[in-house]
Amino acid sequence: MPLGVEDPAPLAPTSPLANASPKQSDYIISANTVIDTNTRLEWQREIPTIQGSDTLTLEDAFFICRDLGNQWRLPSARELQSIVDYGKDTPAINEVAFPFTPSANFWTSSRQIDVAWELDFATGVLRPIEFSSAGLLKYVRCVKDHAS
Amino acid sequence: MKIVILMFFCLLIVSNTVLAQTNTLLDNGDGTITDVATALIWQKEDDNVVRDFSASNQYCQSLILAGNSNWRLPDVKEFTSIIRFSGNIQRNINRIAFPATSGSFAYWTSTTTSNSSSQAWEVYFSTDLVLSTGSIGNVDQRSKTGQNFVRCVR
Repeated sequence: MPLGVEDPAPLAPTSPLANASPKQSDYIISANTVIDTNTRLEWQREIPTIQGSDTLTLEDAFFICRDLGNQWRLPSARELQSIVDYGKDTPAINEVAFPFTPSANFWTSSRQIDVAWELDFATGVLRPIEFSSAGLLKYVRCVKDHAS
Repeated sequence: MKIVILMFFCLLIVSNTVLAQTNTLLDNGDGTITDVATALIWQKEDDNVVRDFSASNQYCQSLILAGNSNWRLPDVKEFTSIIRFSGNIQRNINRIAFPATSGSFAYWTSTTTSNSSSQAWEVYFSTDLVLSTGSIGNVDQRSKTGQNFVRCVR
């Protein structure tokens, strides 16, 4: 699989962390994407689907983001956690900025030798799962750096 | 065979360079670590004492370290920022910058859970793959009466 071992996108130097409970004013919301003015990341507003299915294997998750072109990619664990709103749950995310977000597990690009990391948007739990589970189907939200 | 060995060492050098580039932690030599990526200053070593959530908050608030008294518990996103999500799970935190980080107890964050005020988020640097891939997560919820380690930030 064309997956890097390193976290492909550590936050840039001097890039502030998102608040544990982001404010809606942190986001610039447009029809299809959301820009986080704190982290300067641009997010897909709604989750993508592949052949009618919303949940994907880890390998398909990498490809569906990369196939969007224009530097879209699967977010790292830290990046995906940046849009978690720990001030609410089911789903733990701002639902105006990110409508129809399922309270379920999402893939991240973060992988270690034996594990892949998933983020549960029911509450914001971030956990490693054994890499043998990479064929399981989970949700995806793609990200790219916001070119300011 | 020699070529294979040579290639292996080249790969080793390349990967070490990448690791060095992503290490944003500076040891200030006074018991604190500065992360230049987030501009947070961390307590280098915990005091090897487990406390409940309330006592952990009090510990940080009364801590005087490196001439500073404005220490506090890190929130859940701040604490996650020093988890290393690559390489071997046993190096899930930089254990040179943060020596003796517990792999068997979690650390408290300041973030109360949204669904129960009696629970808060904890961060767990488990080096045990089976434990950390169990039903709990590495960033998960726990009753505030639970005993965890403490690492303060400012």
